[in-house]
Amino acid sequence: MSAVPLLKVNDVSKFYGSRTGCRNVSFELWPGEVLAIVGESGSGKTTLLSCLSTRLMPSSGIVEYHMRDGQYRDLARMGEAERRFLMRTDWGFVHQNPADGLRMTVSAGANVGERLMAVGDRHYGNIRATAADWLRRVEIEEDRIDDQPRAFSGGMRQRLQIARNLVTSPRLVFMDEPTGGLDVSVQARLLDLVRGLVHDLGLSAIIVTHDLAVARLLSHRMMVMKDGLVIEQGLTDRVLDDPREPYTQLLVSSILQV
Amino acid sequence: MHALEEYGLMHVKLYEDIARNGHIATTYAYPVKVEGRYVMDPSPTPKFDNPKMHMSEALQLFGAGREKRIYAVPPYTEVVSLDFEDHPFEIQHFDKPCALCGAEHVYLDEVVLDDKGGRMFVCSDTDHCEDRREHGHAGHLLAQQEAAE
Repeated sequence: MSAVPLLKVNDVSKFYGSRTGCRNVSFELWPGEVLAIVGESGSGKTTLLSCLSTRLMPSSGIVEYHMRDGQYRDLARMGEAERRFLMRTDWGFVHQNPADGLRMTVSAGANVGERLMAVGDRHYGNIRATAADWLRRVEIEEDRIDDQPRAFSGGMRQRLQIARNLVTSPRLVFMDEPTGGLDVSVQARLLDLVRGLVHDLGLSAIIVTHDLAVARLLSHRMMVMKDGLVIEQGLTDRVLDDPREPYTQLLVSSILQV
Repeated sequence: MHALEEYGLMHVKLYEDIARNGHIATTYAYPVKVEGRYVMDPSPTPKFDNPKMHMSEALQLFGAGREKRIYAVPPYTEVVSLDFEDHPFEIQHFDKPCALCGAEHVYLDEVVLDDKGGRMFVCSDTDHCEDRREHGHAGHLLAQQEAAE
């Protein structure tokens, strides 16, 4: 890990009229670190993720990102074109529903290759070889490269979405309930895969989940949200093994022990 | 799309073409990049004529009525067809000249002559073809016909 944080979040709030999305959230994310944001639905975790990933503009507060050139940039002050470029090169966003993050009517190969072509790759053979390599890394058979994601199972679609996001070697990946709609055995494989990729690539990731098991497996650090506020944060093992806030204790004790 | 210069999707379309057909199968509405900046659809011109747009002396006007849009390419403007390094842009090649007027290097239409597989290739630009015939040019089919008469 290098000596400076990748993302600096300072006092971010988002209000929807008089309703609160999230309030006074501050934290830093370090290179190679995986942060989980947990909480029940309606606790503001997706709002917070949207604010961080510039899909929503925070009502107040500053989100700064450590660019590749070493400068910190306030995301809200970046131009649209620059922000979009950042989003398709240095960042990834994995949606809960793969259909939101994939082009369902073009082939798997083109889905993975799109980002490469968007940043100027113009060699068909290379694009295809990279796409095939990424399919292999996410455990999709190479001969499915010309199939459309419509013909894929839910788990395969989610893995394809991950490949599509990682192909440009981003440094930061946002994931919104990545295992949401999958059955338990597929979830386990996907988590294992994501953990491996995050480790191999040295990615930083922010994962929103309501599933504490996902947080336990993937994240180094976690934040617990309730009613738009971060009520507890710390190392994942510490928070899960020794929760301090009554709400976190409730959350942890409500998991079935198997 | 234009303001943000997000044209990656155009190449996705060409990629799909190659993946499905082994070559770029788009023959009209073939995307071009104008002056190294704007990607444009020159529909309905066939891609055969795409190279003629490059550095053309003419002011070229395009309209898309249903989309209430009109656009223009100024004279002497760089117009380059999008492609891949290993699948470069190519126009159609015809083995034979026009069957009626014998013109070469023009776009030819295939015309089916009978139900026994007979066919001919003739100029797509019929006015140009007639003009040439009036000036005494004759393709092989016309020559055969005259010989028969």
